[in-house]
Amino acid sequence: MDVRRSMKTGKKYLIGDYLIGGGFAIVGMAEAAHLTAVFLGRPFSDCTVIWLALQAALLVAAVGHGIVRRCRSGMAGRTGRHFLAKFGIADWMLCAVLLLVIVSQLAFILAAGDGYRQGDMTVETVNSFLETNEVYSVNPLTGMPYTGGMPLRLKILCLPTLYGSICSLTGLAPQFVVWRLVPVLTLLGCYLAYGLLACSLFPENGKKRGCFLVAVSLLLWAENYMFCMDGFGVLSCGFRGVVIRNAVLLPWLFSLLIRKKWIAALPCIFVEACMVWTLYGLGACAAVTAGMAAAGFAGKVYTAGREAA
Amino acid sequence: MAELIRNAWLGWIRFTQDGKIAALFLAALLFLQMRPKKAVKGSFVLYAAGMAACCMVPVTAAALMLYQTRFYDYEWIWSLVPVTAVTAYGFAEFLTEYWKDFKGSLWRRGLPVALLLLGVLLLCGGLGKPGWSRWEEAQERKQAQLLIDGIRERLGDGQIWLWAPESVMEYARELDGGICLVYGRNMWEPALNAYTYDIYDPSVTELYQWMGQAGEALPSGEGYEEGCAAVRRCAETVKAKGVNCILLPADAALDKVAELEAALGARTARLEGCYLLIL
Repeated sequence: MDVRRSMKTGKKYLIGDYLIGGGFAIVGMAEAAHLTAVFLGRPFSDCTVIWLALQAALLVAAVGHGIVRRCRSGMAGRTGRHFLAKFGIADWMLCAVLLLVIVSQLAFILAAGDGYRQGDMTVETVNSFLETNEVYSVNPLTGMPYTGGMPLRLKILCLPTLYGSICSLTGLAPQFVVWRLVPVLTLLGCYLAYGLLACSLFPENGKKRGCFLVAVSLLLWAENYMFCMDGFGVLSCGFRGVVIRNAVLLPWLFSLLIRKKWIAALPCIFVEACMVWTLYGLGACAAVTAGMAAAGFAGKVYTAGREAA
Repeated sequence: MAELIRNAWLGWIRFTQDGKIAALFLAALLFLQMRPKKAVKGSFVLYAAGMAACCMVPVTAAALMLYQTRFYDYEWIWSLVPVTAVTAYGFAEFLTEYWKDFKGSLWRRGLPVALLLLGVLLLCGGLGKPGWSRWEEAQERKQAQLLIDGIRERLGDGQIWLWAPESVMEYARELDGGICLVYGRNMWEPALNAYTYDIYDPSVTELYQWMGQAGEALPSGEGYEEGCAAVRRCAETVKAKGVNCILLPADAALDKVAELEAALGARTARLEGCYLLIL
């Protein structure tokens, strides 16, 4: 990974950025399909078709973008073998420990069964969409038509449509998709996001990056005791919007902001608004961006003051 | 506002009483702050310190709680603080300070530090021990699945309108999206009421309460008539709501089962030990 050069120029995005960005683009597509169903009254099956069509367009655009970038930068990329040749025993040890912990966490998610569902009705909602072929036509908790309706801010959140579309395309059961498949993807996304954050924090030291990731992996286990902790979220309810935000979106955002990619914060704010109940779109991502900008400014003022003194 | 500040203070107590990850985070933050400025990402550490302070002071915490909307509890304002990232950052910096580049020759100094950090982590967290009983919930779901399969077998593919004990209603919509319930999980889990403006009639609430007390026999003496009247009211509600399947718990009082049978004009059958009435 050409981390150091990318950090120095501050322009390049890393492969991980594209992977996470692509993942969240899929969420954005699901939001478009979901809003079509909510506001135009389209059946849920149409949502799936729209989501699929938008994904196909995204795939074509991504492949086209990749080809253009490859042509512009030339074909001489660094190979994986070149990268691995620099690995020492310590790097392999860190990789092995990290892999072991990740595998144990994947096994925990897959084997432990059902996710933490207190205060959540995702599976019921997905079941309702699939059963009625409509979006929020019935109360997911009872199966009966709404009498008072539901808050619009919740109605426009797209994750149930995303999960339902995966179910209807693959034929998988909602319980499997919501409690196993999505949490596994969230866990992998979490490590990718923390990997990028490690690249931002230690652009010139691969061993520190490895050590940071091992510490993150152990912390995720250690934090599996309380609802709002990152570890609990990732290991016990990785399907919830707040967990995806905390475990994937925010570490990625910190990584982007440390690399001073301020514009990239805008899609993060949008994606959060699609998944989590925020204050008119102003959620954690917006607060983090503002906070990081303020911290950067305060740091500069402090440094300038010290130099002047 | 006073209520919000009180919630923030109680939330902080809740947040810190179970595990000590918050203490570990503060220790990491202190260590990073004491490092030479060029050695750490200053703005990231400064942001984490500032935001952590805002989450700990009740007044600013209350403001953050308003910002994150009242849908979420105090604990969620800590989403704004990169607890995991800063703690891991502190770990990585601390360990590499004592075990430079993880060189084999330095293991005598580095390995004990690594083990010490691991020990601190073990002591501060729950290490794999989830905050709720997965096994118990899985067992309950399995039992509910058996009962729902039995009902489905008897009613075929037709629409099922179910009134059953909480332990079955809890999982019914999750296991079978085709089942309609006379009341949902939000009856006993108030947090779920945030998802809907619908409210239950008092008659439906009475159904829930009656089912919860189905194991208690009808009172003798003066209360007997009132007990029978409650059964008849429940039967009326059930008919009005279009319920076509009633499941009473295995420990339901026999006189209540008989009274309900009489009020609905239906016969009970046994299903996995429970009483089943198909209307």
